[in-house]
Amino acid sequence: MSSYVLFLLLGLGSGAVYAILALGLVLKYRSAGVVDFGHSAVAMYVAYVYVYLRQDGTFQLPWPVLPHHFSVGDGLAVAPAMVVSLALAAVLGAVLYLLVYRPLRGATPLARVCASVGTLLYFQAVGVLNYTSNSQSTPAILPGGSIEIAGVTFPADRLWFAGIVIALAALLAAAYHFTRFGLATRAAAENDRGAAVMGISAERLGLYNWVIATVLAGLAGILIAPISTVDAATYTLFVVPALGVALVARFRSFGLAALAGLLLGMTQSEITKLQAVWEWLPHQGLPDAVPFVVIVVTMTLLTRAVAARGESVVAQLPSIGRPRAPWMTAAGCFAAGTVALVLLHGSLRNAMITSFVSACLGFSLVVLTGYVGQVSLAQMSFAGISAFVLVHITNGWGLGFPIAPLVASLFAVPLGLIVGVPALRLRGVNLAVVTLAAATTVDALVFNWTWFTGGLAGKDVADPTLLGWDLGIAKGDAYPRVIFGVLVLLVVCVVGALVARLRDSPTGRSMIAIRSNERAAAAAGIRVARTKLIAFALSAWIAGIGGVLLAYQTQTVSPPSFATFTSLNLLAVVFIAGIGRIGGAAFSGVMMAANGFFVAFVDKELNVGKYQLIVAGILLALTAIKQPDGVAANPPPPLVKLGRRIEASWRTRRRIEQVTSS
Amino acid sequence: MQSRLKAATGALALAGCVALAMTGASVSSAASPLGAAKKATGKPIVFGMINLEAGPVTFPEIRQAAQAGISYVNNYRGGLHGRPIKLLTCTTDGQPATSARCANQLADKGVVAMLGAADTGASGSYPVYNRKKLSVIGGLPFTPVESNAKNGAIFLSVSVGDNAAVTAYAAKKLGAKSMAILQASDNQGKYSGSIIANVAKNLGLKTTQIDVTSGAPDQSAPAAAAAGYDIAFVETPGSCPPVIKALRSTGFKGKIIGLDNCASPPAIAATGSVINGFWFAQPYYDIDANKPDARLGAAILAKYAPKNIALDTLALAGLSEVMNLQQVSTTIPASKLTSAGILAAIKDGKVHPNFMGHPYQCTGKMVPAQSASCDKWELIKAVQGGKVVTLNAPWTVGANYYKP
Repeated sequence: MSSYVLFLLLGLGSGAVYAILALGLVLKYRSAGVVDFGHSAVAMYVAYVYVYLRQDGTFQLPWPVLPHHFSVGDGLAVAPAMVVSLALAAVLGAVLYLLVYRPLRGATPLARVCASVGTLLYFQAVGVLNYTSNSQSTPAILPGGSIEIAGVTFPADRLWFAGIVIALAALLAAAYHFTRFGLATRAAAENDRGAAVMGISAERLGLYNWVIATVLAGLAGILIAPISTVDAATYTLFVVPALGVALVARFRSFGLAALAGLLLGMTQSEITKLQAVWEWLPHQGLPDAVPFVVIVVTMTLLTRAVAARGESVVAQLPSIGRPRAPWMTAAGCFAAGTVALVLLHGSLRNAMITSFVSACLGFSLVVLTGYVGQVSLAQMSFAGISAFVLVHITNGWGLGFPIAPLVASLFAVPLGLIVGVPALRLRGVNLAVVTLAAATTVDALVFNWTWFTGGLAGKDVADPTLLGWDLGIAKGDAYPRVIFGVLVLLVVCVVGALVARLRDSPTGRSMIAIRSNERAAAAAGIRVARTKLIAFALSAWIAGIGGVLLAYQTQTVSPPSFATFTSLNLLAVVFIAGIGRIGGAAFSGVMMAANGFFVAFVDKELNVGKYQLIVAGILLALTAIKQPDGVAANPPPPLVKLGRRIEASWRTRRRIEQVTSS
Repeated sequence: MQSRLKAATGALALAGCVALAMTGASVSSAASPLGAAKKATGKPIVFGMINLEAGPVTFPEIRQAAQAGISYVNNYRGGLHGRPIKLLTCTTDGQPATSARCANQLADKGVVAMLGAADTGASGSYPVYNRKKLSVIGGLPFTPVESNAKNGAIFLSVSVGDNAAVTAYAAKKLGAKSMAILQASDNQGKYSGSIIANVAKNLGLKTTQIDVTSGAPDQSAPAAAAAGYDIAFVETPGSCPPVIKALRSTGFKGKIIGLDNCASPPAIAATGSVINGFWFAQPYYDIDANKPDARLGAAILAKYAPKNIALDTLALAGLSEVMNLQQVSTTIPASKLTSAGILAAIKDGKVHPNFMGHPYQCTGKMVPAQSASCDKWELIKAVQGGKVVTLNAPWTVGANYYKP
C-alpha cells in the first residue's frame, strides 16, 4: 500500500472527531435553528466527568464555589462511568434548552450565536475551575491494538471510531427521514405555527432534540478522550473544524457532515505526509489552515449571491441608535475622559486607557454588525495584522508617528476585504463560521510566523513621538502617562464621531437598508456587494486603528493578544453592551472589556479575576435572552435619569445663550 | 500556545502523594522535618505573584505551593529577618494585556518584589516590572521574555535545560544516531523544537522536526512520519499520551524520550504499558526521595497546601523559590530586603543551595539563551513498570550542547 494511502487512513481518527461533533451541530440547528459554538465545550465537560469517574470516582456538577463535588467510589468501570456521564449530558441538554435556547426561538441569529458563545465561555471556565486545566487522557474504550494492512501498521480503534460515526450518521438520517418524531421535527423546524395546528409542540420537540444532541456531544467527548487529551483549550477548539464541516453540510445533512468530517481529517493527515516529502512546504500551521481555506472558497462559490426570498429577512435585529450631535458628544466624551485620566492613577489609569482602546475595537463591530448585520469573528485578527505591521514599518521603513500607525491600520483593509468576499454570498451564522475559520487561518499561518510576530517574545514597539515630543505611555518613572491616554482618547473620540456620522451618510443608509433586507436594497438600486465590502474595509481599518493603539499601549505585541478567541470575547462584550450603538461600544470598553476600567477596579479590590469568564458567559446568555439590543439600548434607570438631567441643563443653557445673543 | 505550557507539569505525583500522606501523618511526631516553630512578627514584607489561573490553561499549584512555603517560613523560620512574608496575587488568563494589568495592580499596592509563577503573558507584565524596578524571584521560564529578564532569577531551566539533558542522554547512553522531534505546531512548539534540534545536531544526530497540529485530535499522522528514526522526542506537552500511543500503534520501533509531564501519574495511566522505557529529565528530586529537602518539602505541603494540590514540577518550583528566598535573606542585612537587594544577593555569582534541586549559581551564562536561569542541572528519570525511576546517575547537564 502506498504510504500516501496510509496517511489518508490515518486521518480517519481526526475526521471521526470532526464528524461526530458536526452531527450534533447539525441536529441542534435542524431542531432549534441554533449554531452552537458551545457544543464542544459541553463535550469537554462531559469528557472530564467520564475521565474522573474512571480515575477516582469523583463527580463534579458544572458550577463552581457552591457544593458540586461528590465521590461515587474508587473509580468506575467503563459502562457505568459512561452511563453517568451521558445522563449528566442529557440533563445539561434539557437545562440549556429550557434556560437559554427556548427563550431564543424567535431571536436573531446573532443573539443565538452570542448565547452559545456564552455557554462556551461558561463551560470552559467551569471546566478549568473544577478540574484544573491539566490534560487528562484515558485508556482505550474501543478495541485497541494495531492492525497491519499490506505491511503498514495502523491503529485499529480509529477504524472502529470512523465506523461508529458513519453508523450514527446513517441512523440519524434514517430517524429524521422515516420516523414520526423525525418528520415532526422537520415540520416544526420549517413552520412551528403550522406544526402547532397539527398538534405538534415545537418546543417539546426542540427539547427532545436538544437532549439527544447534547448526549451526542457527550458521547463524542467520551470517545475522543482516549484518542486525544481532555483539556479545556483543545476540546473547545474542536468546534472550529466541526463548524466548518457542518457548514459544508449546510447544517442539514447528517450524511454530508459525516463525509465532510472524515475528508477533512484525511486531508490534514495527507498534508502532514506532503510536508515530509516536499520540504519546501511551509511547516507552520499548514494542516490547520488549508482545510479552512478550501471550506471557505467552496462555500463561497456554492452559495447564491443574492439572498433567496425571505432568506435575509429576520424577525428582529438589534436596534441601532441614532446619534445626535456626534461631534459635540465626542467633545464631551473627550473632556470627561481627560478628567478621568487626570484623576486616576497607576493601574486604574492604565485600565481606563485599555477601555478606550477596547471601545475603538468595538466601533469596528458597530459598523459591520450593527449597521450592516454582518457577523464577524475575525476582528482581532485585523487588529493584530496592523499591530505587527506597525512594528515592521517603524523599525524597518523608519516611518514615525503619525504616518506609521495610519499606514499600519490600512494594512488591515486588504484582509478585511478578503474576509468580506464570502460575505457577498454567505449570511448570518454561516458568515460567522467562515470568519471564525478565517481567524483560525490567520492564527495558524500569520501569527505563528516568527519573523512577522517575534514568536513567544513578541516584538517591541517604539513609542510615538511627534516633532520630538514623546507621546508614549512611559517616560522614565512616569507610567502610565496622561498624555498618552489623551492621545488614545482623541483618536477614539474622532473614530467614534466618524462612525456616528457614517450612520446618517448615504453609505450608512445603504448599509442599514442592506441590514434590513438585502433583496429590497438591491431592488432599490443599492449596490449590495460594494456596500458590504466597504463595510468590511471600514471595519477592518477601525479594528486596525485599535490594534496600533493597543501596540503603543502594551509596548510589546505578541500573538496571544490577537488569538481567535479574543475575537469571540470582543463580539461578546460589545453585544452585551449594544452592538448597534456607539454608546454600546464605549460602554463595553469601560464596563466590560477584560482589562478595562470596571473589571480592573473590581479585580483590584476583590481579586476575583478567575471568575471573570464565568460571569461573562452568564451575562452574555442573559443579555441575548433578556436584552438583545444590549445594555446601552435601555441603560439602568438611574443612569437614564442622570443623562436626562444633564441634557436638560445643557438645553436650558443653550436657550439662555441664544436669547442672550439675540 | 497555551496547551504547550504544560511543559513543566511533572511526574512526581503519585508516589509523592503516598509519601506526602505518610509524611503528613508523621508531622505531629517529635521528629518532624518541620523543626521547631519560630513565628515571624511585625510589619509584613509584601510580595506579588501573577499566576495563570484563568482561561483554558491554569496552574494553581504554583501559587498553592508558594503560599504553603510562605506559611512554613512565617511559622517555622521567622519569616525574613523576623518579618512575615505576605503574598498578593493576581490571576492572569495568559493574555499579555491581562498580565500587564495585573503587574500594574500589584505595583500600585507597593509590593517589594515579585515571586515568579506561570505567566504566559510575560510580554505584557515584564515591561511594567522594568519600569517599576521590580525584581522577579523564581518562576517558570515559559517564554524568552522571562528567560532573559535582567531583573529576574530563575532557579531551574525549562525548554533548554531539561530538553538538552535528555537529548544528550539519548545520544550518549542510548546510542541514538537519528531523532524525530514531534513538536506542537505553535510558537511554543517551534521555540522548543528548535532548541532540541540544535542540541541534537551538535551531538551529531540526524534530525527532523514534525509538527503536531494542536487543532487535530488524532496524532497518528505525525507519529507515522517519525517511522525509521532511532529516537522520537515527544515535545507535545498538551498531548503526550496520545502521541506516545500513536507512535507505538503506527509501528514506531525506536526509543521514546520527552517532557516530564508525559510521565505524570495520570499520563502513565492513560498511556498504558507503552510508556515503559520512556526517558525524561527533571530539575528536582522526587518528593519521596530519601533527601532532607524532599522530606521537608513533603511535610510543608502536607501541612499547608490544599489536599488536592497537583504535585508536579511547577508546584515544587513554587515551593522552592520561597525556600530559596528565605535562605538568601539570611545572607543579607534586613536593610537589603528590597527588590534590588534581594536580586543582587541571589545573583552574586556564588553557589547557593537550591531547595530540592541542584545548587544554583547566577552567572548570566549558566544556560545558553536563558540568561535569567541559574541552574542547568537535571536528573534523568525513566518510566519502568509503570513507575518513575530516577536513574542511578548523578546530576547531568545537556545545556552546553545548545549553541543558538
